[in-house]
This record gives sequence, C-alpha cells and structure tokens, in this order.
Amino acid sequence: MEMERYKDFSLAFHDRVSANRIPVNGTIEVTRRCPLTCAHCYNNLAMDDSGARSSELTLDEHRRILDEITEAGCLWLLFTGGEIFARRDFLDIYAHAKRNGLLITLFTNGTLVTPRIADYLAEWMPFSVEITLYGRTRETYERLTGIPGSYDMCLRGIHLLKERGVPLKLKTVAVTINKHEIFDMVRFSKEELGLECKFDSMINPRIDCSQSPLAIRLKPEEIVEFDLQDAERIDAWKSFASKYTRPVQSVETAGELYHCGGGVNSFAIDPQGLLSICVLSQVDKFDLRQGGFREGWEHFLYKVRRQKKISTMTKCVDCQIKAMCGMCPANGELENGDPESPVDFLCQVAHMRAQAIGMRVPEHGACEYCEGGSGYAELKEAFDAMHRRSKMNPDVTKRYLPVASQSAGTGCGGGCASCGPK
Amino acid sequence: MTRSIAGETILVPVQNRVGALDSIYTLNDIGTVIWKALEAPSDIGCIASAIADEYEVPTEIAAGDVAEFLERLELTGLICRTEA
Ligand code: SF4
Repeated sequence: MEMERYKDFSLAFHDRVSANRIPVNGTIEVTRRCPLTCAHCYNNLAMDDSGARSSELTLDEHRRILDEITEAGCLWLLFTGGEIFARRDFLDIYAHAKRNGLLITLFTNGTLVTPRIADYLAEWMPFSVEITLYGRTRETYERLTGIPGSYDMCLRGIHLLKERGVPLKLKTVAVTINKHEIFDMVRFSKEELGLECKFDSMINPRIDCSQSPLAIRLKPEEIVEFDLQDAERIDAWKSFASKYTRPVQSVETAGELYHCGGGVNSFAIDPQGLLSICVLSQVDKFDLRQGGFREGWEHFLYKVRRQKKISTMTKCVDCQIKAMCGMCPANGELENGDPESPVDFLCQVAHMRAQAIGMRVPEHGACEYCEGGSGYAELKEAFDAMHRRSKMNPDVTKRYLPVASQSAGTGCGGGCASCGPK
Repeated sequence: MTRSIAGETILVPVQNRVGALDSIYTLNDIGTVIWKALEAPSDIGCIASAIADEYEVPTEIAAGDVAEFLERLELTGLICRTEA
C-alpha cells in the first residue's frame, strides 16, 4: 500500500492516464436555474423557468449516468449549475455519486445552503466546495447578483459549511462592478475566515449567444494590472511561458483543433444530458438519453477530438504565447461564432501579459498586436499607462492575489474543467 | 471503497469526517486482493491462504505479508480489528 500526498498523486495520475484517453475528469451541470441574476453569468436561468426545469435529467437518469461514468473511469466529478441546490433532489444525486467513489467538487453560490444541507455534507464530505463571493460589501455583492438579501444568505452558507469543517474555498470573479473590492475579498477570506480565495477575470458571452456579460468585463489592461500586482503571479506566468514553445506549423501539420484535455481525459454533461467536450462548447453534443456514456465517449467524442483538425492558418496556429491566452475553440465559437477565429479581447490580454513579463513575442502570422501591427501602438500605450499607474501604487507588491487555476496559465477560466490538472 | 482505474487501485473515502483530502492510498495487486477479502469480516489465516494459492507462495510467507499489510491499514484507521 502506498500513501501519497494528494497533490503528488493527482499530478502523477493525470500524467499516467493522459496517454490512455480515460474520462477521469467530469463536469455535470445539474441545472441552469439559479436564484441569483448575476450580470456576468454565462448560463443562468430563472428559478421558475418551467421549461428548463421540465427538461432536466431526472434523478433516475442521473443515477444511470453516474453509474456509467464511474464504470468508464471517472474519478473527479464537478457538480455545477446554475445553482446546484436549486434542484430539491440534489443531495440524492450527490449521494449516488459519493457511493460510487467519485471525488466530488461542488460549485455553488452558497445562498441556498441550509443547516440540513451543511449537516449532510459534513457527514458525506465532498472533496471540495467552492463558493463564489461577488463583493466584500453588501451593496457591491447585490449590485452584481441583482437580488436583495443575497449577500447575507451567501455569508450564512459559508459559515454553515465552515463551522462543520466541510472543505471549503472561496473564489471571486473580477468585473467592473466589484473590481475595487477584489483585494478586500481576498483579505476577508484569508484573514477573517481562514479560507483560500481564488480569483479570475475572464468573462464569456452567454451560451445562448447573448453578449450581455461582456458589458461588465474588465479591460485587458485592468486584467493584466491584477497580474502585475502580484510578483508570484508574474513569476508563474514567466515560467509557464518559457515552457511552451512549439515548432512553426502549416495547416497540414497543425493537427487537432482542440488542445485541451476535453475529450481526452475530461467531459461535460449539461442539464438535459447532452455530453460534450466542455461546459462552454455548444456544438457537437451527444444525447445521453439516446445512448450510453461509453458510446458517447468512445465513439462520438473520440471523433470530435481526433478528427476535428485546424482548417485555417490563423495567427493562433503558430502563436508562442497561446499558453497565456484563453483562446480555444469554445471561446471562438461563443464570441465569434467560429472555433478558429481569434478572440480579439483574449489576444490583447495575452499580448499585454507578454509585455508584463518582458517576453518578446515571436512572429506568428499577421497579428495586429505584435510590433508593426495595426493595434500595437494603442495596446502599448494602454499597457504603459497601466504600468505607470501600478508602479506608483506603493502597496502593490504586498498584495496577495491567487489565481483561479492551480497551474498558472491554463487560460480561460470559463468554468471548463478541461484545461489543467486538479 | 476502492476504484480501479487504468490498472491502479485507489482507496477513496466515502463516509468520512476528515475534511480536506491531504493524502490518498493506492494499492498494488496483492494489496487489492487483501482489501477485497476484507469486504466481509475475515482473518489473517483465510486471507493468507487465498494469497498463497493465487501467487503460489508458502502460506507462512503470505501470512507474514498479510499481517504487515493489515497492521498498516489499522494504523491509518482504514480497518479495525474485532474479536472473533
Ligand atoms: S494571443 Fe492572439 S494569436 Fe495567440 S493564441 Fe491568443 S488569440 Fe491567438
């Protein structure tokens, strides 16, 4: 019998299974209904959306699918929403997954956590619960969620779980509405609650094609300013960028369209039982009401992953800073309606990030944001102004700002579990 | 409970009050056979003779290995000894 530190086991195990195409990481969106109406959310629907509710998988269907993914080798399972506790039977779904021996993470906003739910989770501990905090003050929190009273409900949920020793982490998403409270949230979480607090600032359009969340997305220079405010974060980007170099390619040799773990070691299932590469991807779905998980994984997703090739020589194909960029086919689809077309916003963030770590970006096609490109001067000006601002702030190096992903540089942070090791 | 994935046997806590998962146990082939044998109450002698048959080793050697393995499981709180 070997006892390993969990982190070592996880990294080594992911390494070992990556060659074997085993679906070890799964994400199940149990519902898209949610009691909050956050302006940045990519998929939330109203609690009383009867169409959404009636189309959701039943408890029995969930049990069958959980048995099938367990049989296929799933070990880490993320339950997310909408809000998972919007489903009255969520604990029954959870209990089944737990009995199957899955290591379960729960994403929740915490507002529907009751003493009964907290007691249950304390008895049947999940691997982790992650609650998103939307503001340090009631005013900011509720401006973003749109629901009076939601701030107190969230804090109550946090305390109920924390008191019972349920493994809990907080996280937040930086948008224009709460950007001034990010550090206060991190400080509050660490110093007052003793909880780790992660951070992300990448916002996607909604999966129903609405671009409304983008109205409160931070500017590229604001996102990179957060990077610059943390020396460790900058070091992590540097080491990540230095590892990621590839030979220049042509369309013929460029290979598979997807370059994440989706369809190789991870998958997502939506509330109606549609299986796909990740929660963001809204194309290529396999209906688990019509066929079993094994068929969906071994045949359908296999084809999506292995047979979809790069067809256009965009500037992304040979880009050497891709590792610092959230560009992926799902983001391309959501923002441009095309999996291969570069997302301008992400490209700007990545090029500013490269400037922030002092990295010269090797030539990669006709890129507007590289030296000599049409957008370079403006990008540089915005970067320099931001850099001056952040240098003038004497407090910045003392700040602590963790990142959303355990391995820096896994990119998008759009709720997709496909990008990096857990 | 155990999960067998990609030829590895992993001990996954199900009902637990331990909070964050800091460490994880994996079992080799013999460990997996022993663990399976423990699904119902059993004793060292029975498990050792099953191992001795399966791996063609003398029963005394198997008994020593089984006793050592059970001791480690007991020390980590994964099993508990009961009186026959
Ligand atoms: S930085 Fe630009 S060119 Fe590079 S991967 Fe991102 S979007 Fe594509």
